[in-house]
Amino acid sequence: MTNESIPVPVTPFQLKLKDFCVWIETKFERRLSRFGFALRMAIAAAVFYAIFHLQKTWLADAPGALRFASWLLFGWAAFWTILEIVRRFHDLGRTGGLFWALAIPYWGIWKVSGLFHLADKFPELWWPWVAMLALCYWPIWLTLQLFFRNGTEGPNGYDGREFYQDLGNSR
Amino acid sequence: MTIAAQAKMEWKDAHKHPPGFRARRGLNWFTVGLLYATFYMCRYNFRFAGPGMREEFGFEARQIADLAAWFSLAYGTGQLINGLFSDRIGGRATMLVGAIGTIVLNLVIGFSPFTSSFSTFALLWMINGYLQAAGAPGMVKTNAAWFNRDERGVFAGIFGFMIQSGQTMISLLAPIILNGFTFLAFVVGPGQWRMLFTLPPIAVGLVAVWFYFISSPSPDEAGYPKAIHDDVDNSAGTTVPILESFKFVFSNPLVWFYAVAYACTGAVRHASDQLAPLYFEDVLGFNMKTNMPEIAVGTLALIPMVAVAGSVFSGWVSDRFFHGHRYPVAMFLYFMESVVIAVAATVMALHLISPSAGGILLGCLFLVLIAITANSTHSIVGAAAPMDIGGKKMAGFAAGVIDSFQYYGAAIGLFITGRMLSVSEGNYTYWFGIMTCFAFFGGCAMLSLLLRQKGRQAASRAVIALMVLLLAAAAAIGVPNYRAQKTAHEARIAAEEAAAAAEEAANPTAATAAPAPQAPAK
Repeated sequence: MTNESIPVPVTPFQLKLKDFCVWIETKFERRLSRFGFALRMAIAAAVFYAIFHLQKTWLADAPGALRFASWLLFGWAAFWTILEIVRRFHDLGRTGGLFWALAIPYWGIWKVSGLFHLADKFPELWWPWVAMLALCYWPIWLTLQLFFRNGTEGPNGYDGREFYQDLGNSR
Repeated sequence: MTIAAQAKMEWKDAHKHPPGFRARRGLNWFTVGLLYATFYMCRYNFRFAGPGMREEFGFEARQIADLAAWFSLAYGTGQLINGLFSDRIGGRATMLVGAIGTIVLNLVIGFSPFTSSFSTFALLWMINGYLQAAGAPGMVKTNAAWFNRDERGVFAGIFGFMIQSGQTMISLLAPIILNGFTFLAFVVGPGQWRMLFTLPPIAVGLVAVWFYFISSPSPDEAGYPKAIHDDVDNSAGTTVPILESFKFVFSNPLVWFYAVAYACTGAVRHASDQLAPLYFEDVLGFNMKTNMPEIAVGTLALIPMVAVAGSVFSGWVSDRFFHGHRYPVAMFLYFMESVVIAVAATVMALHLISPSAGGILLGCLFLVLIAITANSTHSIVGAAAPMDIGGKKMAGFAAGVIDSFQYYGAAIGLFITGRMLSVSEGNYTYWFGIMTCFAFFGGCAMLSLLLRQKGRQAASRAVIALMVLLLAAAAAIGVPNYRAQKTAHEARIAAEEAAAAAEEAANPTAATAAPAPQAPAK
């Protein structure tokens, strides 16, 4: 086996994709304060509520193209929300991958409650909710930290300083 | 700084990538994975078509299981051949060839009237199996070039996610198709199972176009030279001559240990996946042809999702705590799986799984638990191990060899299970029992590898000897048992037919009675 390095040609389209990916990464590699995060989450909640409300009312009998457009809007809002959550994690000096530690358990609760119609059976059937919330103690703890914990002081590896230096060297 | 924090910092320093690389890798992985997920839509459509085909053509459970078994055989052989080709022509080209092939085959099955005979359908489905087998080696090979060794465990978990998302997509789409729907001027009536073969290929086609433009076979060709260090061969490029790949992979003993274990994964995974709808119908009393109950749809959609959690977790554990070694984690998972399925078999034998509320809950719960363990081993043995063994240049064939055994195992498992279900009048305790044996066997293969890697050759050989003994015992007990049940089954059928014929002779029905004489025309 050899270890020699031969330059491989890169197409112009792939270089454009590379630039796009660098641009996307710069969006994530920043910090976000508690206040900024709370404000953005409030906006996200309002946007999601508006989209779902519109889908159930005005868009219920609308042409398919309009409903599709509403889902595109949903996709954009979801991406923006993920972005803000990741940036807030970075402010706390933690990896943005923790987003999944929030998303998967909450999604699981939503699916299980939907499957067994637990919302309709509450409060008579309360114990499944307690059990699910107990299982999700860590995501709940992370959520509280996102809203209330102070960010780190100085460079923490996620606030972009190192990233932009690397970017300068790579260009 | 704590030890954990120190380890985390060291991990971060060792995995520093150039700007934009992680996003580009994510995009590449997403594209490759999405195409592979849509491959699954054109494969798992079969299990939803099974009940409809059984009703329309009168196929027995044994024949449905045989179809799945023939598919598995073709798929396994395809893995071997396509794996070798993917090392020669590259993973990207291999996946595109497979995508085009599976689109054509599914459309042929969906639109042709001649798929009504068992043999024709089996032949077409086998060809589809061969073409589908281009997906896994192509995907594993492409991703081997994009990940360092100790990043691949988590990737393998995500690979599991993409597979499962394909299953979820078809699990959600199939009930819509089978219930019937209207889209603009396009009307599909309820129970039209052929539509399951005509609509999913459209998704494959759309994603294949996206894949063609976005995917890149290696970071070098995406503008990130030397971003990844390959332990096997770090030179430029991702392709090698067929002979070199063949020699390297076939002479590596690790491949064969993983292959045997993976055969057991296949037997469990495919038996549980392919026969679950029949189990829902026969044991839990669901209507799986037109109006599937919500709990069945929910379970079939939930299974992939919980399986993903197990896959990602097991991959992460093998990366972080076992330095990229997969066998200790896989061994634990196999033994845990055998315990879970053994409990399920016991519960089934006690008739606790039945069409009652509690019985349905238990029946669905065991399917979910089996899926977690089976899919966790599937990810780390099927995706991470071949990349570690073959590197970016020979991961395709390594994956092909290991993955082919999964399907040979599946074919054997389905062949045995189908026959036992048929002669036992649908006693699904055999289904669980057979899966238990395979899971235990897989654990033994990994235990043997573990001992071998620790330098305890004698103990490793002793485990192999135990496996051979287990096989011989299973054959010695199982074959006479099957023959006895088959004889009883045939006698029962003959008696039923004789009774029906006697009743028919005594009380002729309208269909068989002679037509009444017509009144003379006036």
